[in-house]
Amino acid sequence: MHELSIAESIISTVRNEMKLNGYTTVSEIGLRIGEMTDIVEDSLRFGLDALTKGTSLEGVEVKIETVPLQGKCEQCQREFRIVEFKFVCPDCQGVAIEVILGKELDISYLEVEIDTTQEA
Amino acid sequence: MARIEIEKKVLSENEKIAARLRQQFSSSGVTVLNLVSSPGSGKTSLLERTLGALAEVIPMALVAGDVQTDNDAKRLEAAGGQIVRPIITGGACHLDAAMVEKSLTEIDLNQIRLLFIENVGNLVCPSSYDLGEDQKVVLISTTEGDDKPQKYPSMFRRSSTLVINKIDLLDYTDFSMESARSNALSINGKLSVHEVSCRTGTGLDGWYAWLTELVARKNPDPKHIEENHRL
Repeated sequence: MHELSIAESIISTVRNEMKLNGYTTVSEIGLRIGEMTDIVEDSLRFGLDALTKGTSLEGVEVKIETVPLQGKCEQCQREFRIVEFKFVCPDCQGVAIEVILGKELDISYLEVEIDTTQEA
Repeated sequence: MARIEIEKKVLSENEKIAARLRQQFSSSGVTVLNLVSSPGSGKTSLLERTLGALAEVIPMALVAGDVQTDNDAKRLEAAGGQIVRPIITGGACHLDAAMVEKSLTEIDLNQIRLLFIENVGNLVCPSSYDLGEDQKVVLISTTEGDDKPQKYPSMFRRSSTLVINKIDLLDYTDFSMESARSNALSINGKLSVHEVSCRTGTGLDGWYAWLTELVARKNPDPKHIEENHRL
């Protein structure tokens, strides 16, 4: 259940961005989460809800883009989708596979309201 | 409303601290292993054995993480650990780099060549948190299912070494060594595998030899440590 720690990190990053850039409201958080991060989406949403309750971020929309696991065979360079965590090249049966996609745990974007009075 | 692309890593703070730790470990020539497993696979037993065999030869420190109690840290001290630091996470299911950094403040890295970080018993959460280690060592035991690698693929993928413990009990369980190995290797073909029994000592010589070589490879000049000891 590290989703709660992950939720904490997400919220502190968002608050930091708000403070630094003068965003008054964040209405949506866009996340990009790789298949190999073991994040359970429901648990993460539960954590985010619990931690934002009663704060200015309460009710914020969270959009999650899941990134499927993608590997590259170090032997024949073939790139392929890794299904069920079988790290074996479908062409040459090589087992030295580099993970090229699927480890992401990023905040990709925020939908924000900017405090224009500050800029003026 | 405006959409702002921010592209921030959620764990960037942890990664920043881990990079700082890795730099310190590297400049002090300390080999660092992050030991992970389910509860009860034998992390502490493996460390007790390792201390008994190598503490005189390789100056080492141990950081032992647990949700509650410093029982493991006490066991490691009793087994001859000169420098043992407990981390009680108070509920957190994994160690993060900040906890490790804090626990190291009183350890002089120039006095040691090997640091073991015994993570919280959990095969899911610790896989996401880089602690600045050279590698993760994942431990399973023959009283667990031989499909552990399939159930927790990320951890096996992110580890470099697999230790299979309790091989003295093989006859009493349905654990298939062959399946366990092939399951693990289908997820990570580069895993090096050690079969051991921390109770009887079987297979541990290979583990000690591997550790000794690993430490020597990171810091090939033993004078480095002797000089530091004299200081």
